[in-house]
Amino acid sequence: MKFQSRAWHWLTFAILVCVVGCNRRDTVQVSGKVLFKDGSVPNGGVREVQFLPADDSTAKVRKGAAGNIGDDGAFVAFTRKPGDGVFRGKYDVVFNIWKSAMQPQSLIDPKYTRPTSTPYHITIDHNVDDLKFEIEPLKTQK
Amino acid sequence: MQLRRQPSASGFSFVGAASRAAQRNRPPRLGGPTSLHGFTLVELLVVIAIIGILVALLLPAIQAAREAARRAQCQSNIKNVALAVLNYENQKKRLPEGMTFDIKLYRDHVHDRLAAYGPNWIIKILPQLEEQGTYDYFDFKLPINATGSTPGDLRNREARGKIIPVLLCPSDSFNKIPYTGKLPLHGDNWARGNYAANSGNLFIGGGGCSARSGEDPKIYACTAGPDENGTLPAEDGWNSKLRRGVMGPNISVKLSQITDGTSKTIMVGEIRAGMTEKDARGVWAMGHAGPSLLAMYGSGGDDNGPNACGPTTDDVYSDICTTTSAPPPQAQAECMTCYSGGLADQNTVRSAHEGGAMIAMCDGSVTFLIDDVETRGIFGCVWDYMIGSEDAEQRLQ
Repeated sequence: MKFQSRAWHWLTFAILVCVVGCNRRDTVQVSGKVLFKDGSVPNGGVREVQFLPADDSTAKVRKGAAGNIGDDGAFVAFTRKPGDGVFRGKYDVVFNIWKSAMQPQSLIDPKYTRPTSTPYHITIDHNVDDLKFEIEPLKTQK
Repeated sequence: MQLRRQPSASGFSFVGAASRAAQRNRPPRLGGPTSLHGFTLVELLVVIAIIGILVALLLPAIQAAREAARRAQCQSNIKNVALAVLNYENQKKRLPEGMTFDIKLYRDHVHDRLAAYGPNWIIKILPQLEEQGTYDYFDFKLPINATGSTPGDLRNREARGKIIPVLLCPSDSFNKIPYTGKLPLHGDNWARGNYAANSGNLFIGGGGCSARSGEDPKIYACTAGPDENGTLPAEDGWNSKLRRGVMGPNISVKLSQITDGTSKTIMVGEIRAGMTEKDARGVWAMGHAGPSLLAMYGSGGDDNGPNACGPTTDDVYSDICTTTSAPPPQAQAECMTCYSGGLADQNTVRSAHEGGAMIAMCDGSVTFLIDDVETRGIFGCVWDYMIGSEDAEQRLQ
């Protein structure tokens, strides 16, 4: 009887290790909102936030992720398939707010469209659902 | 022994004698003297369960072995196609054009008004694929998609419906349904194909296109090939060293123009045939992005990378494709979403294999490319360099 109960302990332990250890997936779910500084939602034929793997990212798989920005500014990022999440690692966050897919004229301040000039560099290593990004519209030349 | 043989010699069969003897001496049971009862229900269930478990263990292994065989066949097919293209290049000193059409009539509307398809790259390499008979059967004075009823029309209809095993990947379970769609523009009876040529990181199409942000604003991310005078317009995407592939609309490169190195540039990639007869993807005789060309499948678009699976990835002019960003659930589940709301065509590498797809490089080598190959949203990763044929060491800033 004593042996049996110990065996049960070990079994429970093994299952726990597996549930905790084997379940650590390479990707995490990332979502949030993108708004202009004045709180309005960006307008355009293409509205997308992109997570570009940073040059020094340690991500296991270096693949960019993206998410469409909805009418309320909300986005959910995915890598290859909706729902597959984002690989853990460091990313530069850039934004594509275009007139249309065929006419990719940017409607926002160009600094938010380049990985080198974007103010947003984030490390993703757990699920987040409240990322907030504020961007600025293209300054009209006078 | 002598005594036993005696009855059989006097007219009884040996078996009959044995069973008679058995009837005399022991109960008429199959199991012999030790098992006086039959199997109990529990014993039977245990045996059936064990057999069930063994079969269950074995089945996935058998399925995996079958898929491995199909994959090997698929790999061998794409190798043969790539070698046929190289043999063609050997004779003509340049790769075959990806698609052909009347420049005057269709150059500005390649996306949705192309009504007369000329021979595409696969038709051009038919003689090198040991399909000389099929090649000769085509009437090249008429469009490949001819829908009329003259003898020439009917010949083209019959020829484009020829099932050519080397163009089919056995892993794809949808490649047996012929394509019929966009009637009367495309016509019917199109046999399927699973291999598409690399036309570059460029949309196929003329009007309404402009440059990708951050790139040379004078060069558009679309190509429709040379104009009526046979020269490439300055804004055509084929001018972009970062983006042009190897077989485009009415245009192709010589091997010497692939300055990246032929082993580092994609020539042919695997695609999946449409899931219904109305889906134009994977049609060997039809020269367009989707049916037999890969287009705009790297950075700068939403069809970035092998088996890209976003809601509006492939842009194909086809009945089945949606104009909204809400794909049918089955298409989303199978990663076969497509969009027809754009003005130009886009198509990426796809396969039914687990975790990747076959690609053939311009030197004829075949690689299994994993879905996890590095792709980004902005130009400058391995995948983009594999698509472009003249982009060695170029980097955008």
